[in-house]
Amino acid sequence: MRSKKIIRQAWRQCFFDLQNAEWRALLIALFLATALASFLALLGNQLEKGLGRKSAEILGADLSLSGSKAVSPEVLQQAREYGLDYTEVIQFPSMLSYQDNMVLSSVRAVTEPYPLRGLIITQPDTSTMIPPAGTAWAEPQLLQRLGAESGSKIQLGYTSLTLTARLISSPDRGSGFRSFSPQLLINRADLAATRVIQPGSRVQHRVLFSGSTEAGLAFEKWLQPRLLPQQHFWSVHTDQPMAPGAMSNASRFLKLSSLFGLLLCGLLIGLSLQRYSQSQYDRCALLISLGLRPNQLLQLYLCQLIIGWAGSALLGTLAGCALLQLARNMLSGLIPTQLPPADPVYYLSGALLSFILMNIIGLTPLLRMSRVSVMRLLRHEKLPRSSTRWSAYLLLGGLIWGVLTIYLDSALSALAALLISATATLLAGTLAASVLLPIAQRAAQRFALGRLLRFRLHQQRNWHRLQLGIMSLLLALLSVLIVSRTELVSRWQAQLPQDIPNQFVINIQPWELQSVSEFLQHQGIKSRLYPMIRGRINTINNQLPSALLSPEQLQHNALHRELNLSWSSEPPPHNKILQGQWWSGTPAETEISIEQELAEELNLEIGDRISFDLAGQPFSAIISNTREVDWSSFHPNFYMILSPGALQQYPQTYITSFRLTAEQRSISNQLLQQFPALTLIDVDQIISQARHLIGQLIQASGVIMGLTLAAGLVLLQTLLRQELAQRRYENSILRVLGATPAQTRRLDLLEFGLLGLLSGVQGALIAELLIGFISSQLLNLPMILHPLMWLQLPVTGALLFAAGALFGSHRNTYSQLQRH
Amino acid sequence: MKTFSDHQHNLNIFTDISLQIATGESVAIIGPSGTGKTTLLSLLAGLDSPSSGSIQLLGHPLHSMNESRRAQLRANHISFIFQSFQLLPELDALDNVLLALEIQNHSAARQQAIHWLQQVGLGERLKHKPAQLSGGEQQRVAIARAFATAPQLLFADEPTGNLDEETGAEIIEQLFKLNEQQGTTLVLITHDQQLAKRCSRCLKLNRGTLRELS
Repeated sequence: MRSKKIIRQAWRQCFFDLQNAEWRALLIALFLATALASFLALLGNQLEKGLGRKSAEILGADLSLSGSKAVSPEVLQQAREYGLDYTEVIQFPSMLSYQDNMVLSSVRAVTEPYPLRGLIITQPDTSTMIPPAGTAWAEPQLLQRLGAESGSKIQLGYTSLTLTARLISSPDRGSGFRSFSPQLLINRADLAATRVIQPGSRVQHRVLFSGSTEAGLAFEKWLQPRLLPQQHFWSVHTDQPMAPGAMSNASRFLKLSSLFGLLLCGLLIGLSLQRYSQSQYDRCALLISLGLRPNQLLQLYLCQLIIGWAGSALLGTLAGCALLQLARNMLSGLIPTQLPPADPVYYLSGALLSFILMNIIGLTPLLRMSRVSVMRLLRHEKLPRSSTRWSAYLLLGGLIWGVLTIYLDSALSALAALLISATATLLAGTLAASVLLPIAQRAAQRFALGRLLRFRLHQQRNWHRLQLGIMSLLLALLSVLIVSRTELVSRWQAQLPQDIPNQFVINIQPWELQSVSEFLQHQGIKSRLYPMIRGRINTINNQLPSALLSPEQLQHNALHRELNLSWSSEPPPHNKILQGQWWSGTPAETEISIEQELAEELNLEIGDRISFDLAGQPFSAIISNTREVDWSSFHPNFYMILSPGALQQYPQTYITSFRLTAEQRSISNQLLQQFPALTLIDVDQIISQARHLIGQLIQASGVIMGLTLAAGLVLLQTLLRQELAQRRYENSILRVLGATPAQTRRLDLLEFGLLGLLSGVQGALIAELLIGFISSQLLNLPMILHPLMWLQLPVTGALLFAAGALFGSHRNTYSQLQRH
Repeated sequence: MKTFSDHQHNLNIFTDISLQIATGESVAIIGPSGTGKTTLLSLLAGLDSPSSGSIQLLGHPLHSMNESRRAQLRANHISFIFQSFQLLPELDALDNVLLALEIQNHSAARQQAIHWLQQVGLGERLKHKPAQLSGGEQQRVAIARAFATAPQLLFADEPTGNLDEETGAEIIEQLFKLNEQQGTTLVLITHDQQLAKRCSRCLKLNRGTLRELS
């Protein structure tokens, strides 16, 4: 038979077999696997591109050098010598106000030319590259939160700027949390008038470079050894990934939550392929009797599988794209609105994954089909049960592990995920199945056809283990998701003390100290102002940290950033001294009180000398005590507090926190109106934003859970179908023997209802344990029971199984016997 | 000889069977259920190998050929007719016949398929799917399919077993008419005495031996 004819026959079988439930289940499994995997691959790639690997358009340049201090003129001179163009950017967080609304925004002050690569898109189009002095361009989200529009005059520090355009998309949004806040683009010429940038302000100075690749690489080579510890350098040539942070975690969370769904799809592909191939043995035997060779038969079915896969994969990829859009709407705020499109290859990745899964899992059933004998048509004999060897299972497991490793980007996570899913399903299934038979035994004594029920449950015990395991885990995961979304965050928030501060004010300058204090006192607000100075750890006991600490300890964040240091004559009221003594008065040599966990992690002890770099000046002090800090107290907390005196000569700012009730909200507006250069952080707003984000993330994973549930239900149906065919045949015999339709229906409902009920009860148990673990271990909340869940899950389980059992034809008559 | 073994016991189902079938003959094999009629047919068609003894088919030593060569021989020279018709449900009558010809890369397959369906009286029902045909009609499609590839040898396993008496008689008529026209060698297994009588030879298989009935 020629290939063209084989393809035609495969095409015909592909459509005709849509009547075959197993073929349909296979196509659905391929569709779901593709949709899930494409959705996650596309989202992951977009997030990665959005903040990870930078293309020149996103970076706004070929190279970018950033740090907390301005880049030295020597570097700029060198760049000029290499023939590179450059432009300087200053980015900082600041409160913007318009009428009564205030929003924390990330402000970029730029000079022409800007950007060096890529384009700024505004609405309406503007004739200039950057906003002219006195004007600003704001992202739509910012306008919406401020309630402002084009033409509005907004307040930034001591100056007001006119909004002239909406910033639809722009490169160089910055990295990390800077890139999450809605952004405002201003002209560098306006920066001084705002008076927002003061010594100690959190500012990022960035220089963007562009030029030929050779010049860029040569400059990079020159610059790398000269980079200062606080500087970060990104290059499109060497493609250094940026710290992915929250988005990467979001992407990983979504990937992990989809894992169970993908494994279910794999199981469904395996099961439906196996059953489909069994239903094809007669056809295979006939085709062989007509002269088709086994390798042609393999080609035929492979071709049919590929056609089926192509259709499912196409629809799956489209569904993945639609889900991506849905998730991006759900995650708006968490991820930037303007993400670059995903690489074309990622549009194919879901389809590729389902193709690999199908081929890995489908190989054995396909080979069995090609070994069918024509004798089957004469005798209707079964294929000899070739016992699949352990080595084959191991090989299959190994291949699936390989695929998951690529998918999760970690061999260890993939192995853990595989083992945990398999063990959990097996354990849950075995546990529930062991309870099933004794319950059936009791039921058997009270029911006319009870013996048959017991027999049925015994006969199907292996399948029941799988059904019970999968369904109880699915129901449990679904409940955990719903409870985390609705209950855990509110409970966590509710257990916070009522008087906990909800407003932080930073950037208070020394000359404002007195008036800010008086303002707060006048409003009846209790607060304490802490001085704050930023310093980097240089040496410990006169040695570089690299000479003293292990590679793991050297990764500690405290060694890689500027720490906020404070000084005080009194210990903070919410801290507890654990070791050593707090100083009295002003000691002769400056002493340090260090946070206990940091001391432990860096092997620091009382008597150790730490030296800091404070605004370029060396400064050292001796540790005299360790403190326990409750970071969740929402008071200003410091890793290091120094004894008073020595630090006063350095540029400093002050920080404070206090609580405002809902009625006192206007006080923060008054404070900012009076002191425009202060930065106010509304913790309530941040918590509500975090809650919103968690909600969004859970909602997005709800999409995945929905697909997982769909895969689980199709799997359940596929498992039930074979049982149901057997049940219908048995029921026909029972009816012929005189049982009433009501009796046989009751028998079915009892069997499947019992299975559903049990998976629901076990699902509730697993969910309680998981929720208990999350609340007690992660959120420090007492464990509570969820009585409603114990009612809802068993009922849901029973309904799902019973609906499955009642689904389909009810030919429980003699005709069923004849058809069998 | 064909021996079945369950590791403890050996069961020899044929003893001293010697059978020669000449080209163009029609041979019926009858016998009670369970005597090994189907096993004998599977040995004759090369679907199974004898435990001992030899089988020559169309000049080829079946007993010493491997499965792939036997499959090749079957594909080129043998057709089957089954009790339960074995038509592909998604294909209409014409496509069912066409499929067998396409597998053998037959030239002018379509004309050939139409010709054979007309021969069995289904010229008007080319586009009907098996579900739209009666049992008798389905078996006629199977007969057309079997003859379309111009086999030298046709094996039929209870070809009227699923049909009523009247339809069965029509099918027998058709089968023998074509067999005569084509000069095909026909080996059929049946319980149907009427059918057996139509064959040029009738063999009875009983307790492992094959006896020629006059």
